[in-house]
Amino acid sequence: MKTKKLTFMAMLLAIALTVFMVEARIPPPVPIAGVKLGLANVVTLAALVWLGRGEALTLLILRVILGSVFTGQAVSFLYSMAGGLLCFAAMCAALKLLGRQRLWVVSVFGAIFHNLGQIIVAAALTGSLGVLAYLPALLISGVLTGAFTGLAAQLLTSRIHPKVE
Amino acid sequence: MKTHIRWIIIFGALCLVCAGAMLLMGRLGASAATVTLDGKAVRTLNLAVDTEFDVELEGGGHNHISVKNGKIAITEADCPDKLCVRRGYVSGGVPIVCLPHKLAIEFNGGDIDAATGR
Repeated sequence: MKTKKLTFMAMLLAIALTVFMVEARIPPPVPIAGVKLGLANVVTLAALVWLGRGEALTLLILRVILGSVFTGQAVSFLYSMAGGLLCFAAMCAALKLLGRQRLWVVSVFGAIFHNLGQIIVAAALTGSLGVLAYLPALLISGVLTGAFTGLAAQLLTSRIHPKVE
Repeated sequence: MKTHIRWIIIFGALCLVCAGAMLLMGRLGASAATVTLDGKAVRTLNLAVDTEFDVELEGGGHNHISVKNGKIAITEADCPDKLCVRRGYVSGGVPIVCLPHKLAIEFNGGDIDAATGR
């Protein structure tokens, strides 16, 4: 790996972690677990466009691990990892089908699958299927937050074209 | 631009369907509730009977649950996010969950049960 690329990825990770930590400080607007903006996903989306799948996945996994260490919540690690990986798989598939001109749609699909992953983990942890009742609320929140972060990532990647190779 | 509008319509429709489902679930009444901890039922409650009690976790931590006027709430808890407490008093529909404590309050029994009081 070239030094320039390594540095660029380290910088992206630092940005993602900072955004993640600041967002964790914002009190949730509605009393439903799992509703959040997911601003750190802007970095994952940008990395997907700028660098590629392997690099974006590396950044995502490192951010989830370090984010859980820094926020100090072991339970949230499971949610973040399950949601993050499902979101990543959905975004890779959607990006291939839709292209970067519709990055906001890619992001919406990512957010929806992120919330699906979290619900599945919640159902497994609480051992009750009742949490599936949260699905409609989390789908709406996924569409809204996904569109917002996706639009941010789309504007970012259409204006900045870093040369890292 | 056309494809953007198409996607906006698709996602908008999805939101509307979900909002409808939430409205329907919010109108469901329940006559009884089950408190589960880590997947195991610890207590079944008749919502017609006012009561208050604590659920203690094995590894420390507690949730204070209160039943009043046919509604149930977690009124106090020492979980980190307090989302369960912010839900307030609920009479049915979507369960109250406290994810950090793996605790859930699920509702059983519909409107018919509530009408007969059983």
